[in-house]
Amino acid sequence: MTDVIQAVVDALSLASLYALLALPVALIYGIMGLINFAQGELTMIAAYGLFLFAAVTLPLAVFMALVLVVVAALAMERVAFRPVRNSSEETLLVTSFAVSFLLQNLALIIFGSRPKSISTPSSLSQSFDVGGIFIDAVAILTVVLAVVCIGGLVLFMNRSRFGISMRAAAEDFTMARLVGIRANAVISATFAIAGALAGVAAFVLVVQSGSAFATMGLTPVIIAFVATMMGGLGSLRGALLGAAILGVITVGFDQILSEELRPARDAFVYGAVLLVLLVRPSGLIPSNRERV
Amino acid sequence: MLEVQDLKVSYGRLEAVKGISFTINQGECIGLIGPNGAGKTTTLNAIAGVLKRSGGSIAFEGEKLPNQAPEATVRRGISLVPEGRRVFQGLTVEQNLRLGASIRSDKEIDSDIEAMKKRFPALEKYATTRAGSLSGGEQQMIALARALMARPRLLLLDEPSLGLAPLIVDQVFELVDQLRSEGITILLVEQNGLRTLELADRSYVLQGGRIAMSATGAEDFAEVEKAYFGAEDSNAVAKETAND
Repeated sequence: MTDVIQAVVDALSLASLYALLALPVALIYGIMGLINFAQGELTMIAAYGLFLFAAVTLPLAVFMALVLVVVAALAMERVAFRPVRNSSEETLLVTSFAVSFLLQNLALIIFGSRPKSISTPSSLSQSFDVGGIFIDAVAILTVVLAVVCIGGLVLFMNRSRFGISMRAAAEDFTMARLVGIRANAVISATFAIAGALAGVAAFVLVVQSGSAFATMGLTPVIIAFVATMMGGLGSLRGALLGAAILGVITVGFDQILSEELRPARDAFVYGAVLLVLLVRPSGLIPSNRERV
Repeated sequence: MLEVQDLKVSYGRLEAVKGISFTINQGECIGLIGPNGAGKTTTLNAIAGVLKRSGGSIAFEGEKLPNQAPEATVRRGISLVPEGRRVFQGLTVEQNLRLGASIRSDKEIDSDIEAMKKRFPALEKYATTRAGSLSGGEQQMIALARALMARPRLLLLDEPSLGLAPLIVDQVFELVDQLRSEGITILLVEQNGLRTLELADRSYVLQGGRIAMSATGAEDFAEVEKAYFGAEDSNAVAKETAND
């Protein structure tokens, strides 16, 4: 029984991290049809931000890293994506690859290829034994941050005038512009939110791994992409569902696979994803957005 | 009020509108009729800023409109109700109306929403319902009310009767007539030639991206029929009108 509860706790924590990674990818795709592979580099920038601001107190460092990554996300949109906004999805995708590689190599030049170690308070690496179930402090942190971010985003998208404008734009961008919603403002806000979410995810990843490195955004962006594809590209609820399922099946295979097969866990996980996509090619909750 | 001069619009190498000119005076209802592919929707989209024009000029209330974005055009007082209604399906009826007032920051938005609900009783009944779950006719009312929330001086209506039941089509045409009598200038694109001729102060028949003729009333219908499809298929417009 404790094994099952332990697995549920682990899955909840992993799904929370995946949700933080997947939401910005789904949000940007929903608004402008861009699968932004450079989202991973926003995570990397935030992590290096935590490294650079390590001298100040942790809350201040996190705040400054968040500001840095939001500014980076806004700059990314303005410099790289705005000029090609009306191009095909393929052009946008290739642009995002270019931005991704550019930022990775820039980080290699500035910080070198060796990971930069970042120390976080020891309280965050603690583990609690609750009746035989081990709960890491970082797992609690991840779940709390995900709940706060998702809850905040849901409130913003449903209650605020600007959030409702963003939902309208995600559904029908041209029609949103026809009622007077400013395209630039909506897209900039989307990138700012994506940047902030990348910052939160980076904080969790840094607490988990204790380091920042140039290619650290790659695995998170692949996970985010897979979760959003499985959930239904462009649908926020789909991204959350995809993240949850990916978290659950990852932990599930960890539990059921034998010692010898466990190193090949990801093959099983992505095999399961393929099965889902074979049955539901448009994802579990397809978005009804029209291509602009 | 609106002066369109030698308007040209292209999709890549294909020129869909090949230099059309017309004028709309304050308070008029002008019809644009013609078969599919004649350039009617393209013309409306070019005026609304959805499509960039490749040539010609558009002046509104004496000022030239640059090749601007749709969000700028609506701020100038021109609202487009596009073909297919395009309500925000995932949002409630009231949220759709409120979005229609995106360009406004005055204190009369709430009272305008109430006025729209009185004007369109279905919107009152379904105010908190998702717009996508309503019928085509009700969605058309949302689309019209949403456009009116911007308090436009020129309303561009693209096929407002398309796909609606005959009774609802009657309501839509009555409404357009009402709006005109309230002083809103209207440019109406329709395939329902006869109804448009009856309603509009003046209509232009578009054919192959050019204005084939202008007409002032139902008495010109026979002539419009000929211009509409050319001599070979002069019954087509009558059939289409009968089907509507």
